Amino acid sequence: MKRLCILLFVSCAGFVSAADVSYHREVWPIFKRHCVGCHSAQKSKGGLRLDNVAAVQKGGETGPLFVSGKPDQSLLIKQIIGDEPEMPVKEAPLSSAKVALLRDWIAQGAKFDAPPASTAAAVVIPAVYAFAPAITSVALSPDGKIAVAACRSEVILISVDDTNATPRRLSTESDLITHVEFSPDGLRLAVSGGSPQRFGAVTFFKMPEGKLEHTRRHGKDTFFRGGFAPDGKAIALGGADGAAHIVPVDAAAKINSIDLHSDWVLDVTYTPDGKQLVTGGRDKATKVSSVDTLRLLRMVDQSTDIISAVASDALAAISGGHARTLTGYDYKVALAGVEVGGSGNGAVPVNRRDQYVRAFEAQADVVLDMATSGDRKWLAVATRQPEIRIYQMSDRQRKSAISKVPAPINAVALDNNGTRLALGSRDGQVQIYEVAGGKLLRSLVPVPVTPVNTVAK
Amino acid sequence: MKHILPLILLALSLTAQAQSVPVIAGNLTVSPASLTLTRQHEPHSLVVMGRDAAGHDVDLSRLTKWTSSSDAIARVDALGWVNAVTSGQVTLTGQAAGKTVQVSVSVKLPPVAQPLSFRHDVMPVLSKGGCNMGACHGYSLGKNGFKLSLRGSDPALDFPVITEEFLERRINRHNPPASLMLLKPLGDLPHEGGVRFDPGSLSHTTMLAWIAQGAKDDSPTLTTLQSVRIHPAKVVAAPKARQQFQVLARYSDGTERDVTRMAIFEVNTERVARVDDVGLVAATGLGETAIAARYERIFAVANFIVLPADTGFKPAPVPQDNLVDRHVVTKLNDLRIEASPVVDDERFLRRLHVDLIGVQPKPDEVLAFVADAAPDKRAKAVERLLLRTEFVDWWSLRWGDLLQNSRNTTSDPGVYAFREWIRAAIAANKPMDQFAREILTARGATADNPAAAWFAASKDADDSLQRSTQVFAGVRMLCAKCHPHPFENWTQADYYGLHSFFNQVSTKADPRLPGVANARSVLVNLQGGLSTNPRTGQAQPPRYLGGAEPKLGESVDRRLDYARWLTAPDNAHFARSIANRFWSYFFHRGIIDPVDDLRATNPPINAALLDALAADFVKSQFDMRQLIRTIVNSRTYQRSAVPLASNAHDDANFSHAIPRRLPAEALLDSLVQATGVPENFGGAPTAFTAAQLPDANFSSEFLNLFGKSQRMEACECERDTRSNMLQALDFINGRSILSRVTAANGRPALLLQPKPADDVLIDQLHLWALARRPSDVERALAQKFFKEYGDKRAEAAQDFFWGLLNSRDFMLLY
Repeated sequence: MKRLCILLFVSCAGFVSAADVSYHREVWPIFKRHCVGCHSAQKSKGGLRLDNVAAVQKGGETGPLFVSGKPDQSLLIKQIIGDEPEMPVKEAPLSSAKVALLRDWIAQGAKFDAPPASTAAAVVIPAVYAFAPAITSVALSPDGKIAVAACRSEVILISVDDTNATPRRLSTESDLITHVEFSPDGLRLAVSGGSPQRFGAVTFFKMPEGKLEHTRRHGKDTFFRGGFAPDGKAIALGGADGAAHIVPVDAAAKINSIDLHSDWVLDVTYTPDGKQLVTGGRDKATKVSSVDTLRLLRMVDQSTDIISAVASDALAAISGGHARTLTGYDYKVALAGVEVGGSGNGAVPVNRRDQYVRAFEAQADVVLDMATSGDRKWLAVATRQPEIRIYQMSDRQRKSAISKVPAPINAVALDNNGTRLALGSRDGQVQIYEVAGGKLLRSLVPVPVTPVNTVAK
Repeated sequence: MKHILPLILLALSLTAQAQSVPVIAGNLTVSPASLTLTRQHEPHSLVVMGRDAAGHDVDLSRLTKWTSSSDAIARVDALGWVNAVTSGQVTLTGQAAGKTVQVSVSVKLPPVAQPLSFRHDVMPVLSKGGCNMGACHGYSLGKNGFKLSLRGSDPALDFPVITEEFLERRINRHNPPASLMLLKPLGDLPHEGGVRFDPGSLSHTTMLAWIAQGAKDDSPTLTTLQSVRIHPAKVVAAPKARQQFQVLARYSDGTERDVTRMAIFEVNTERVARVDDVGLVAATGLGETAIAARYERIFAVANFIVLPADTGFKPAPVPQDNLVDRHVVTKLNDLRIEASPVVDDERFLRRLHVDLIGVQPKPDEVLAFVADAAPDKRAKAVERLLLRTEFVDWWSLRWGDLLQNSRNTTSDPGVYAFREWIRAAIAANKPMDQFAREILTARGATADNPAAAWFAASKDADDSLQRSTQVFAGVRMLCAKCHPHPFENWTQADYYGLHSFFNQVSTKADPRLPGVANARSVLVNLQGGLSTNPRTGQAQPPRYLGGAEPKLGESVDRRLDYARWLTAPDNAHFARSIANRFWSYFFHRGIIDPVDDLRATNPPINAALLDALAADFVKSQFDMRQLIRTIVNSRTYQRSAVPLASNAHDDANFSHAIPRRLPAEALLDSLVQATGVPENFGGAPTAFTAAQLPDANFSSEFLNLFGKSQRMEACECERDTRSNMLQALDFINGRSILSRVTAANGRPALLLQPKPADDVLIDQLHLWALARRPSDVERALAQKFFKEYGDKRAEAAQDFFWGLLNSRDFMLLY
């Protein structure tokens, strides 16, 4: 039987070598299956990338990958043959058929044929959804008259007061929108997100017209949440690379990044004076940085679990997350001395955590989102529980709550003075409330949905 | 892709044509003979078996040509899987090797296709792809921010992680192919774990379809998986044969699914066979292996035996006088292996002495035994040794190891008291069930109840439950403390169920022994509550191994119930694990090996033997001496270490003795006896032998070098029985042997005093060193050796004796 297998392989290889080996149809699948885990943009071990043709032609630190026409002299072949081949690491050696194919490709001159039409999944926005899409982010215009909801790849503009107006749908090139927000003057809408593991993107729309201004792509994964600068000239967004990215609304201006965290930055907010950024993320840390110097001022806290949202008024940073806590950090005490000593690099803070922590009441469940009013007086907090709590930031006391909301709530937003609140639920509902008295102003699923089995009938 | 497919088909047809059609002696069998299909996209495999003239099972599945009485209802694809088309009843007819088989198929498709189930369809995809392995996303911290439950143990935790976390970034219900859950494992996006799904594979299509159906959770009334079986359960294959296995899952509603393509296969002995990821096993060598298949959390194991072509093997008559021989010879006949003959008297006596009393026989014992003409002299020798005081030393040492009696954890008086308690039990032949119960329920100070030293040695309830299951049930539970056990269906509920039996115990310093290190008293808090299962956060009621939860009253010592359950005659673990462990003390391995890692995926090499041995042990009322007697009186124990042509490859079925190194204490005590020069153990009472030492905390480089148990763990592996270079160097260059053979009171000097003739001296040196007389060849060599030394007889005797003690014949039992 063994002998028969070998015969088969030889005959297979024979078939293949009769025709030209196609790079895209035959070689690339081998690279993809066995190599690009370590040799790609994300992780170019040995300086080698195999995820695009130019990089394959260039080779890695130890030189070019192949000598055209000479498989035996080619590094690629040397690495994958022998009793214990160097590559692939921690995996069974390539089958003799695959090695033969790579040899043939090099022997035939290592030619790169025309790539087939892209199969990368394009953004698809259904006219009618089969399942109500989860609301991933909501925003309220400063005057509270327009609510914006993000579902997957599109945003919907909803008039709060005119219930007859058809919600307007704006599409984006992001697979997953993670954050929508009005600029402080209400004249611009930022829609950020991107495609997981591919790119981050921010799209700006002119408001109230909803006219596309421009889209900017950045990085290799989606942006997470963030917040506009008080002057409206930039929006700071969390990145999967552990950095906070300051994306200017001016398409020509440079994006500045502060590399701060060891894992995803899930939320960023500016202090009201626009001088500092508060960040929190999957590494469980809450940090305060300087916008001017793009440097860390102080890591103010290390939670026991993920920090999902941050907020700030003039006096304190606030962070909340999966540890079911909401904690304030008094700037004056926490940052005392740190800038003098050299912005955190080596400087020893004057005060300890227990001297600057300003705790809120315990939260009933995992904190999923927080929103501050434009005047930074009010803080709305959504957990997994069907209740939104609203706190007065100055004294950290709960002033009101909206209950019986369709939990879990993915996103909350407040208008400029905290009179109206918008929320978006995982099951696809958008609701707008009057905070005082908790009156429900609107409740809707903002996109057309027809369940599959209804379609079948 | 398009132009590769014809190649594959070509290859398949070539394989089919080239494979010679075997001659089948009897009828073919097909599994299943009838089946019901209730789901459209869930085909069922067919395994067709025959038997050739040489008695090998032959898998004809790939050679069978199938026709369906109606392709409009069900058809068989090129790989031999039955696919449902529409509801109805058909007969499939298969032809192979000139014979015919039939399968009746009933297709009952529901009017509306059932949606895919997260638990029954998607979770197996994650397991099959290896996504939730310990090295990948099943790691306790996840990988790259994506954490799944280890080996799919907790679907309820995995569901939100996949469908909800980080704003549903991992799936896209509205554009399913764009889901990270597909792009990453397909390799369309860089994935450190590599490509896990092939495009178009069942894993790919299942995940895609489930997302497209809305990535829904299961209803609370979902059926549960009840059992998993593998077919065929036993295969006797020819060399280089291939066998397709079939894995079937049975659910709580009585339905059965063919889950072969989603099962995870492993071969226990890779020398014998390899298995691919769809359960096709290829025989690669002679012998026997288990083929383990895992589906969801349940394991099923098949026995795969590869026998040579018929070589004219004549089965040996199966002895009926000894249960050990009966089952071992039956198995050897199945494997077409002959057993080696019984070893000669001298080697037998040495093996028996070392195994039973931990020291070689002395020359007069050897000579008397050889001279004895009684036909039952071996059985009589066994009886004599069972009554020797060294027998008590030796087995107290073994139990002292397992029970971890040591000053590491127990006070000096406590260690001696517990040692005496064990010795009294061995001397009185206390039934092993009673022995275990008294230990597992002991309380108080060691001065009052020496057996309490066992609990006093536990750090906490975790330690007690792990030690008790490992020592008295042969089961390792540690894994299940933090996650489901990777090789057995133990969960945290099982672990904390045991924990609840032991958590009433605490220790405090013994007030009567102030200032004495490790002097502790064992207390039982009858009001103590139940342990908390960290997975559920709920109190976990006491639960026996195997799942039953007893109803226990308030304010009782829960250990009493555990000890009663454990030592009940029908307990599945106790007698079996002890019988297996004791077996390993007389052979190079247990019937299950390692002896304290009993689980479904580590099946016994001879299940009938272990069952019979355990049953006999229960029947004898847990009589340790009777268990030993049964083993050592067997021909199996007494086999020669010289292999035969037909059994040389057998290292597992006890067809011949496989040499074992003497345990540290037996080696040292035998060396002391041979040379007549005692070992001085710092701190131990004078004249204590190595086997009598109460623990390992006496200075002895020799014992440490040869792997004496340090009693730090309740694991049989605490005793290291392997050989290494340092041991050889110590024997050759060290003082252990050299200083003894050259000592003024050493054996050579003593033997030379009466000025014996060379022949007498040679015999005596052999008898003292190796407990046997020299062979003719050895004698001739020895005579030549002594001649060369001339009148330097002392030097000759020392050098010769040194040589004997450095030979493998001294180091090994053979």
